Amino acid sequence: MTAADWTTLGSAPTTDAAAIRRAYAKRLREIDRHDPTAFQALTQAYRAALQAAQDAASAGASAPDDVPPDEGQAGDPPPSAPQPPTFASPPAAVHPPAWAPVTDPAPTWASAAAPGTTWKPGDSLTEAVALAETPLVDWATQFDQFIAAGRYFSDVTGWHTLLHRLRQADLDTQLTGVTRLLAWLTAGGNGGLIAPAAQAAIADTLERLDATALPAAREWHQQVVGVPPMAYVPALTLPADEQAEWYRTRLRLYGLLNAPDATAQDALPAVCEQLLAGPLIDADTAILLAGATLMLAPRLPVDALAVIEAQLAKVASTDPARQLIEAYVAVMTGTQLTASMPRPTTASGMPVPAAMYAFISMVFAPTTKAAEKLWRQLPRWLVPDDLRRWVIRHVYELPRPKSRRRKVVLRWIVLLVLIRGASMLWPDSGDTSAPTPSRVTESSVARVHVPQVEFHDDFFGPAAQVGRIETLDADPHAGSQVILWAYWASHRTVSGVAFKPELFTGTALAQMQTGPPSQLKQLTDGQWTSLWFHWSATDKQFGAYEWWTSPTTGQWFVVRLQPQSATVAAELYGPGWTPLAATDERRLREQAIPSDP
Amino acid sequence: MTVVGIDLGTSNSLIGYWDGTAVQLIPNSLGSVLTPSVVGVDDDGGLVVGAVAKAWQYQGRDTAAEFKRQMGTAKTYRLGGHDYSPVELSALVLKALVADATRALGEPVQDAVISVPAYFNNQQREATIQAARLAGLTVQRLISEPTAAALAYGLHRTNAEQFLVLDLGGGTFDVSLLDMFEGVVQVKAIAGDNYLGGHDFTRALCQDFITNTLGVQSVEPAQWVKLYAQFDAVKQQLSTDETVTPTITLDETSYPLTIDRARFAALCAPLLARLQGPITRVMRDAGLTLSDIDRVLLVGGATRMPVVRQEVARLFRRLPDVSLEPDQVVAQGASLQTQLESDPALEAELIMTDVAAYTLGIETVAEDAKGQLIHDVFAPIIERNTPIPISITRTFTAAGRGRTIEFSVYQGENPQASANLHIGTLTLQSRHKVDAPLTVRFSYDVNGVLLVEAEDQTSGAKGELVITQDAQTLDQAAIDASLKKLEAFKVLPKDRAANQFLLAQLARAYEAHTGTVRATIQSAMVDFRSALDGQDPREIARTQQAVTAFLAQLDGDWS
Repeated sequence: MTAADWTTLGSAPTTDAAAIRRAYAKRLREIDRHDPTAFQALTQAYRAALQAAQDAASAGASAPDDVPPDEGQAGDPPPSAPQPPTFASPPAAVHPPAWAPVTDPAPTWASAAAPGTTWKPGDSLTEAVALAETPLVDWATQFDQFIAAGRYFSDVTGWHTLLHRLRQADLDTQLTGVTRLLAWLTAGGNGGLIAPAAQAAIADTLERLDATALPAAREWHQQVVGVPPMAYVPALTLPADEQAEWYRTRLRLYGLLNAPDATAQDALPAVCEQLLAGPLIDADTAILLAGATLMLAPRLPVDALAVIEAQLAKVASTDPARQLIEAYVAVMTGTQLTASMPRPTTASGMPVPAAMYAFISMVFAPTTKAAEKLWRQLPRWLVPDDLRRWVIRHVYELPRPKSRRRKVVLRWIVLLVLIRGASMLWPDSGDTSAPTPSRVTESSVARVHVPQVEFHDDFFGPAAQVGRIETLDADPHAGSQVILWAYWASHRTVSGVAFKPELFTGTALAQMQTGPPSQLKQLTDGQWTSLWFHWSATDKQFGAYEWWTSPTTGQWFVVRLQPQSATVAAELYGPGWTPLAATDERRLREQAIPSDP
Repeated sequence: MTVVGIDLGTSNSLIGYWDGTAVQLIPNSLGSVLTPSVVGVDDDGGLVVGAVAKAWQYQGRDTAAEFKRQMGTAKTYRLGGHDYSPVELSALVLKALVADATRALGEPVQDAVISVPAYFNNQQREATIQAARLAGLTVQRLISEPTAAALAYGLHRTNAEQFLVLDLGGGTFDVSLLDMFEGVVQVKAIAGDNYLGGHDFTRALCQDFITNTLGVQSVEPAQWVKLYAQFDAVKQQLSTDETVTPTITLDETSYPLTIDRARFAALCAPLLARLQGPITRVMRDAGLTLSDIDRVLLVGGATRMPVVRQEVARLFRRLPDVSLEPDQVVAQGASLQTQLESDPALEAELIMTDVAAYTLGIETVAEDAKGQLIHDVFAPIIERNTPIPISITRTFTAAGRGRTIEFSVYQGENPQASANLHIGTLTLQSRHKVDAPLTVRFSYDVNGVLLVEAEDQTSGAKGELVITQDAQTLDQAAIDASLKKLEAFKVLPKDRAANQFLLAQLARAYEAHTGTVRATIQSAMVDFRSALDGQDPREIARTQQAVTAFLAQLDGDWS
C-alpha cells in the first residue's frame, strides 16, 4: 500500500475498513467509471487498502512510525501499516495425546530458513517447505496457520520440488504433516493447482507406509482417525510384530477408503481379506470393513441388493442384534431401515443400507452357526468365496495355530470379541424378553453447547480447532445406549473424532466405539456425511468429549432422548438446520435455548 | 413511454414496470404473472405462447420449451413444419409478454431491461438481444439476474453487506457474490452451472420411477412427457407436504406411490452436490470464507424445494433469505432497474460495478524445454471475475515470420485455446520476423464490449477488433425471414385463452384418469364445448366456473 494508493483512494491512511469503503464509494462517484485506467487504479488501491486493514486487524499490530494517524477517525486505535504474515515465533505447543509417546526431537523448523518474515503472497514456498519438514508434534498448529493465511503459491515448479521432498520425507516423524499437506492439496488447496500430482504422492505415501515403523503409524492413526489405537481393547497382548502388522493393514484399509483415486478401491477386497485373516477383528475394524463395503456397494446391480434385502428381512424383529444393526445403519447412512428400503439407482445412490445391514449382521452374529448362515446367504459380489472362508475360519472358529502361544492368544482374542459383541447386543443382559433394554422412561432433551469451533478448510473457514462439548447434566438415563451423531461439515479431508480417554472409565471406555464417516470417498467430492460414535452412559454422566471439527460455531446440539427405544439421538439444532418435530421444537423453546448463544 | 423489466426465464417469464411508487408485475391473459416459456402450434398453424402451450405439451402436440438453455447455439425446434431457433422462440415469448404489457398499460411498449443469467457468455447475451429485436423491443440494458435480485431485496439501500445470490431456476444455477456498501453494488465473483435447474430434480423423480417401478431403463418420449408432468406436480407438492402419495398414470395403468422428502432428498443428492461447485468457485475467486458472507438470497422457483433450502442452510449455517417470491424476484429487480435507468438522480445514488464472467485471452504457441513448438495454448489476458471496465496490455513475440499475424480471441477457462469459445480473430497486416515484439491490449467495458488492439512494435503496424454483444447481427434477409416466421404468432383473446387453457387442462386430466372419472371428464368437456359453441357469454362463464371447480377437485383427488 503506497502513498499513491491512498491518494488515488482520496483518503488518509487508515486501517478502518468502513472508512476505506466510504472513500472508495465517494471516489467511484467522482471518476469516469467508463475509463478502465482510472477504474482499475481505484479498484486496486481499494483492494490493497482493504487487505492492509485486514492484515493489521489480524496481526493486531500497532501503528508504524511512518504512517500518520487517521485524522478523521478520532478515538480510533492508531492505524497500522500492513504487515506481512509472519511465523517469527515458534508455535504454541500442540498438546499431544496423553497416550502418545513423544519421540520427536525438539522442533527445528523455527531455526530453519526464514519461514516468512519477509514473505508476500505468491513469493515462494519457503513456508510450505518448512512446514513439511516440521516434526510431527508441531504439525497441527503450523498447518492450521499455513491454511489460515489463505495463501496462493503460483510457483508450479516449487510445488513439484516440494512434492518430491514430501515423497522422500521420513514418515516416522513427518507422516502426519505429509499426509495433511497432501490431503489439503488433493482436495483443492492452493486453488487445486497441484492436485493431480498430490494424489500421486498420496498413493506413494500409502505404499511407503508398509515399511513404516509403528510409532509413526500410531500417530498417523491418531491424527486421521482420532482414536487411540487399542484404547478400547486394553487386554490385547499381541506380540509387537503382529500388532504392527495388523495395525499397518488397518491403516492401509483406512488409507484406501480415503484414497482420492477411485481405482484404489480395487485393492479394497484384498486388504479386507488380509485384515480378516489377522489376529483381531474389533468393532472399529468391523466398521472400517463396513466402510469398504460401502465403497464397493455402488457398483452393484440392483437385483443383488434386492436379494439381500429380502434375506435380511428374515431377521426377527425382536432380535436385539437387529436393533443394534439398525442403529448402526441409521447412523452410518442417515436412513432408517424400513420395509420400503430405497434401492440403488445411481453410482452414488442408495445401496448403502442393504449392504451395511448385511455386512454388520454377519460381523455381529452371535454364534458361529448364525454367522455362517448369514455369510452363506450373502451374494458373491459382497464377499468373495475366499474371503468368506477366511472369516469363518478366523473369526468364528479357532484356527489350528502352529504354536501353543499363538493358540492361546487367538483364543483370548476371539473370546474378547465375543464378550464384547455380546455386551453390545445385550446391554441389559439377562432381560432377553425385553426388546428395548433402555432405561429411558420419558422424553427429554439434554443440551450441549459448542462454544468455539472452527474448520480447517480453506472454503469453510480458516483454521482447525478443537470444539469442546462440556459434560451433560447428571444423567438420569444411566445404562442407556447412546448414539450421537452430527453432520460433518467438511467437504474435504476428515480428521475424525478424538475422544478423551481419561474421561471414560471401565465399561464405558470398553464399550466406546468410533468410526469414520460412512462415505469418506464422497467427502472428497464435496458431499455431506454423518460422523458417528456412540458409547454407553456411565452412572454419573454421559461424559465429555472433544472433536476436531464440528458443524457450526456457537450452535447447540440437542440430545434427544427417545422413550421406548434403546437409542438416544443427537441432532444439530440451529437456524436453518434439520427441522425437528413440532413437539421437539416446543420442548426446546420451553428450555429456552438461546438461538444465538 | 413506459420501460418494462423482463425476466426471460427457462421455465417462466415475467414482465413488470415501475409505476412511480412500486414495481407492478403484469398478469397475462390468464391472470398469472408467470407466463410459461413454452411455444406451441394450434390447429390453424398459429404459434401460441404460455400456459396453453404448456398444457399442450402433455398432449403430445408440437411444443418447444426450455429453449433458453440453448440460447446462442445452432439448435432448432420443429414446430408446425418450420424450424425455429432459440432466439426466435424467445422472441415469441417476449412478444407474448409485450402484448400483455401493451394491453395492461394501454400504450405500446418499446424499451426494456431484460435479465440474463450472470453466467451467460457473449453469444448468449447477444442472442437475447436479437430475440428482443425480433420482438420489436429495444434493450436498454441487460441486467444480470443476481443483480436484479439484489435490487428487488433492496439491498442497495443497506450498508456494508456481502451476500450471495443463489439462483436455481428451471434450467440454470447461478451463484453471484455481491458486495454492497455506501450505495455501491459491486459484483465480486460469479459462477454457475448452465445445465442445472429445477427440471433436473423432476427428471430425477421420473428416472427413479422408470427404473425402479417400471423396471426399465427408459420410456418413449410421449410417455416421458406425461410422467414429467405428473412428477412435476409431485415435486411441487413435496415443497409443502412431508409425504406425498400420488397415483401415477401411464398408458392407462395406475401406480400408487409414496414419496417422502427423505426419499426425494436421496434421489437428488447428486444434484444437491452439484450446487456446491459454483459456490466454492465463487468463494475462492473472491478470496472469502463463509463467515464473510452476511446474507444468502435464494432466487428461482426451484429454491422453494425444502431439500434445496436445507442444503443451503447446512452449507452456510444460516437461514437463507426467502422473503420475496423466489420466481418473481428477478422480474421485480429488472423492473426496478428501469426506474434507475430513467432517473439520473437514482442512477447517481446507486453505482453498480460488474466483473468479467469468463477469462478472455488469445491463442498462442508455446515452446517446450526441447524447443518444440506447442500450438493451441490459451494465454489469458483478462482473468475471470476481474472488475470491469478494464484495459490490459500484454506483450508477446512472433513465433514465425510472415506478412500477417492472426490473433484468435477466446473466452473460457480451458488451457487449450480451441476448447474455449472463439469470439473473434484480429488479423494484423505486418511483415515481421521471428521474435518480433507484439503488444496486445484487451479493453473490456461495462457493456461487455471487448476491444482488442494489437501492434507490431517493430513495424508499428496496428489493428483493432471490436467484439460487441450484438456484433454478429443477423443480416436484413435473415431478420426478414425470422419476422415472417413469427407472423404466425397469435395473441389469443383473453377469454379465448382462458377457454383454451381449460380445455387443455380437461384433456390432460382425461389422459391422466381412467374409468368413471374419465367419463365424467368427458362429459364436462362436452358441456364446455357446447357452451362455447352456443356463444352465450353468461352460459360460458357459468360453465367455466363449474369446470374450474371440477378441475380443482380432480387435482385434489389426484394428489
